[in-house]
Amino acid sequence: MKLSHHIIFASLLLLPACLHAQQRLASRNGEISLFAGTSLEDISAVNNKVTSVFLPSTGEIEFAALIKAFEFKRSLMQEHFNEDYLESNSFPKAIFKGKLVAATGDDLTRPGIHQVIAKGDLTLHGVTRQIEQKAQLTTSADGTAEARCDFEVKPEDYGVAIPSLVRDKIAERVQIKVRIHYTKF
Amino acid sequence: MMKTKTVLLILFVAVVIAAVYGYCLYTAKPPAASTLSADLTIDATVLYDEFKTNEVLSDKRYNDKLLKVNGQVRDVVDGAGGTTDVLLETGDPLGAVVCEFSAGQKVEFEKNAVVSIKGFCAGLNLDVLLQRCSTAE
Repeated sequence: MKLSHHIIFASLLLLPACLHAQQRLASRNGEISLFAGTSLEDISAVNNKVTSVFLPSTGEIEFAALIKAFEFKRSLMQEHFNEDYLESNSFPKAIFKGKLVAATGDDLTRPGIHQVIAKGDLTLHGVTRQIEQKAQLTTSADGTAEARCDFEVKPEDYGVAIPSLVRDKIAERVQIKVRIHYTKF
Repeated sequence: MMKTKTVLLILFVAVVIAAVYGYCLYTAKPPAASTLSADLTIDATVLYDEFKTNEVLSDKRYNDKLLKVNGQVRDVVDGAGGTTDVLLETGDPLGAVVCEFSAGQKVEFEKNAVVSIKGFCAGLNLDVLLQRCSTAE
């Protein structure tokens, strides 16, 4: 699975020139932040080493985030997140593969702010689920772009069990914010 | 009576010590590399090659370990939130060993300089990532 992920990712990065006019945009410093806190506990983390490739001409998009690269303010939270919940030794990455589809039929290769729907498969904790979320893509005349998407994830949907002892300290739905700035690759 | 008082006092002190210890443990920040000795020393090219050759094995071998990595500086770039990323050469233009220094740390590396950096390995995601880095002796 890991090998196939890398092959797909490398293929996207190295897509040959015969796919003319298919400008490839990439990022190695995308940011995903999460908030899983409640009124009893502030649980938040950020990962700003998310890699992503986006092909505006087709809307294809993929991103990958190392689970261990999520940084918490407190060591103990980071430890529980990795060892007890996301089990990052067994499932080291979160991966999304899918498409951005213009909500109003916009041409995503044209500069502007586009409201889009992100559709695809999100793999987390070894569980893959289809998701469909509203997102925003801002493309600039210089060829750069920025994707923003806010959505929620229910830990149980991805096989993440929350012990009843701490259930009221962890949000039922984890808020996820994705911010990725793309440059030409 | 005196004996009971002494026992209660000892119990009270023990509870206070346990509470302070628990609080310190609960609020502790993730450790920084600068305060600890490296678990392993390795060249950046070797580390990257090992991850590219067998990611699963390398995850087991290196993730969460404090590595001292020797290598040549490909670039120094500003990261998010005031962090600084030092990219070490791997021989592969598509990948580097990225050493992330926390915000506020002074990073004065020149391109092409040969350096030693300590950091916690987080795995491979195009680049091999080391976090909470510090300059190694």
